Amino acid sequence: MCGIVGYTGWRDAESVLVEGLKALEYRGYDSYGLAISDGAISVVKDAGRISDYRNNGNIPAGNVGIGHTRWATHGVPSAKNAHPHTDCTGNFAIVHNGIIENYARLRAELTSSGHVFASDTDSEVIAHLFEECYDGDMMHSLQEVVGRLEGSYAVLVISSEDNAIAAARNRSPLVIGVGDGEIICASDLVPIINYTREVIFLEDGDCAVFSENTLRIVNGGSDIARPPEFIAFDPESARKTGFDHYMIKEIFEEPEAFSRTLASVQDIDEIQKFIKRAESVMVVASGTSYHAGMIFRYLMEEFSGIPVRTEIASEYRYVRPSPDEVVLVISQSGETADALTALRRAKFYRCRTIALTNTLGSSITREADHVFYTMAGPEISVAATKSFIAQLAALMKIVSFCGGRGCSLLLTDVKQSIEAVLQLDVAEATAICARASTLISIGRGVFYPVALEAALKMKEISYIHAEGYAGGELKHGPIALLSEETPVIAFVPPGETRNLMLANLKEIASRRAPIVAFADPDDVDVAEIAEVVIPIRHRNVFADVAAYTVAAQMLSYEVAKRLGRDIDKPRNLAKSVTVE
Amino acid sequence: MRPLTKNRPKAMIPVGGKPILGYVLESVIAAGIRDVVVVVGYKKEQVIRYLDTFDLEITVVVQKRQLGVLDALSCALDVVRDDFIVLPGDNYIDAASIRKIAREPRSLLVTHHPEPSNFGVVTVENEQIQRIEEKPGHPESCLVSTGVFHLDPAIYPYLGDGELPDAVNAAIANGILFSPVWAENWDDAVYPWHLLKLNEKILSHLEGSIEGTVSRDAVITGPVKIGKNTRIYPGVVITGPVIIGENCDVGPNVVIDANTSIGSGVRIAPFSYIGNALMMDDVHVGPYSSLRSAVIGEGVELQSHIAILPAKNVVDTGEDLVRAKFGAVIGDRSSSAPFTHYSGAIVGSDVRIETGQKIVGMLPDGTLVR
Repeated sequence: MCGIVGYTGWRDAESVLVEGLKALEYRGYDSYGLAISDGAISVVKDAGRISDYRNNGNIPAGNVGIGHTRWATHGVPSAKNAHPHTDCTGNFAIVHNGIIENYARLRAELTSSGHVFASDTDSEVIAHLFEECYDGDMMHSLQEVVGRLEGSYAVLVISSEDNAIAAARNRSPLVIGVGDGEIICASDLVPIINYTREVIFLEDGDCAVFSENTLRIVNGGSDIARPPEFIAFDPESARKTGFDHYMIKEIFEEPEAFSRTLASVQDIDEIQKFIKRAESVMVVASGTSYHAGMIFRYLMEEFSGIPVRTEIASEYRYVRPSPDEVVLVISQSGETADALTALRRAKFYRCRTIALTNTLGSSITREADHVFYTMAGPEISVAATKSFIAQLAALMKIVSFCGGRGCSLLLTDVKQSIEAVLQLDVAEATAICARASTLISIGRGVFYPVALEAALKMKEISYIHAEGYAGGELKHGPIALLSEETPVIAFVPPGETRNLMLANLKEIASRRAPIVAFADPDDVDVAEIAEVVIPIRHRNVFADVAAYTVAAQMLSYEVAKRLGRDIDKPRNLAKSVTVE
Repeated sequence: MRPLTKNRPKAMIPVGGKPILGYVLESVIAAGIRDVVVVVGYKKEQVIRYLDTFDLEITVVVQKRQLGVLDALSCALDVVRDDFIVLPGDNYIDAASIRKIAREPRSLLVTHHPEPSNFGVVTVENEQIQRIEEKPGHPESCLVSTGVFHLDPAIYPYLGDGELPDAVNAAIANGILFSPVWAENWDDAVYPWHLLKLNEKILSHLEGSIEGTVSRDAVITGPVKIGKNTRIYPGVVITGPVIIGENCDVGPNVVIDANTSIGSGVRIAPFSYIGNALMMDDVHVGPYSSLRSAVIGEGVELQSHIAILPAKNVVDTGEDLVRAKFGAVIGDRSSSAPFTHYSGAIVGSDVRIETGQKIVGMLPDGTLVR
């Protein structure tokens, strides 16, 4: 779970790598490192963030290099465990994203044949294997090494004897950008598009060796021609001009993200037929995407009558899939390891599969039967906001196609509800939440996942311990936590859940816990019982779900901002989790 | 400009299919200027997310408190070098005017205006500016300042208290000369009903283009621009100049008359008439409605049988009584039930009007009329 980047060409490799790693920082940022080859290999690495990197002359100028930004899996974040790793001779340096599953055995073998390991990582075995297998030919050596690895990897190798980079991919993303007299490769497109729009997406099992103007790809022992694809993607949309953080910028992009996704032309008719033919739908996703899936479940069952199950992607491997089910896998990045494994499992059990993702050409899109793209644009902030709203747009569109024209009319109200929420002032609610160490968030029905998402956002960026519960569950345990010091965030929209939610609020108020209620401005009962009401004008259930979620995102953002947290890069997290 | 500026700065009010700021920036770019600094403050998020849609690298500077143009300028001085042009983002301006003033160092763009007391009135002698008098009670001429200045660091010592014209007056008093440059095409909307005039002016240059789906039983004459994914159903009659945004549904059997701008995501139900109107995004117009001389904010819902008719009216702006003739100005996300009748009404945002009401004059934000 890391970001890797490699460069060979005519520019100064160091600056290309540093800029590239900054663009990949969302994938992990607990340590970083660079290796540059100019006849000999020089390495710098450290714990911390690439943004803190300063060139203090330890690294020579060179035109070939590799870099890495890490999210620790094997071994604590430290300079020692940071990539790139070198072999015993210092002739090879490698960066690796993924997990080598058989590393313990490889390490034992290598140690017994005299190799000395410098780090606790699984990745270092690759460097020593390369030393072991090297016969003067990069491609041949790489194939030898890869043949001995099990697990997931995107690897880049440089050698002091050669100005080429060797790359291999298996179940971790790797993209090669082919420029004019230069090649840059990375874990995703963002670092590449500043230099070239011609890219090749490597496939599982590919081994590639390239220098500034040669490129050779081998898969399964034979050469393969992979023509570059042209990416029409605007790097400028990943700027944050004038906003304090990417997160709030992305929140303000939500109305467009929603309507763009809703209006996009996709093979929705096919997907609809697909779902209607099936007995039920299984939604598989993680984190925020899982909450979007839960919202889908409530709406889909209500408006179309088709039963929907939801499962957390990492738990899906313990669920027995039924071939009559359509499996809908949701992943913003399309690279989430848990989602990919789940998708493969569903396919193994002959389920029909649909992928919902924001990333063109990502691994998930190449494996699912149908793909529905959310049109959120690149999301930089680690906490998902506009990608979630775009997922809702896509899922609501599926609901409306399965549920008839009545719903599609309701969907036209959603954008305005979000626009109205963006004008809200949540300062009073922020003050209440920011002083708490524990928060409880409750909702019922389709607002239950909204409550879960509100709690997740709060945890992610403000580090306040927030838990989401179904309104009715409170009295079965969590109510014991309530006191003056535990504010409760309650979602009380008009509709079928309102009266029971009001009863829950009374239970809470009598334990003297302060209540921050999201409710219609005309609901006087809620206004009387709650400490603060965040007013959201009721339109319909689709509009309300989106609006209440956006309001909760804004509250989390303001709380984190008040607490001075590192909002765009919260500790321990990474944007796309490509390990299981 | 209230109620339209409740949720956006004036520069972001869409006229003729894009925000006023869009015309300003396009003219700046067309005049060959590539180094652009935008000072944002009130509702800055709305501005920034629009700036991000431009293909030009724009430097954004945040003004913490809204203390006028001079303060905004001093926020930007750190990123400004040599000579520069100051121009308000919320006035319409064409590229020719910018090219003219760009050629004339130390100058002020001036124009004639029939209501000079809303502006700074300029005295000119011997082709040099003598004085700028802000919003005089008894203006001496109709020659007004457009607020567009071509300045250089010589002005820095005079940027003290007061406003930018004060600084320029002080500089003039110390012998620094400023020349007047005549504007080609410039306009400012002071009150919300002025937007209809501005809209008409902008639409007079409209070139038709149809990207949406138009039924072959619809009749379209004159320059008409229709955005992507918009569907025009049978029996719709559109007489240009008219601009309609993306993802709209119009008809069947709707008439849209000249000088009308319609935003994106708008639905117009059968048997309605719309003429000389400015309609922002996501407005819903119910069946059997007639809307004339109306400025309608984002997300407004007009149910069925709504009439908006222009009427002569005297509006109390809080500072002044102003004569005007218009149908209605309706703030964002207000809604009205069937059989509402507006004439000369200024309705705030989030106002709800129940069935059968006649609305004249001002309604504050959030009012419930029953």
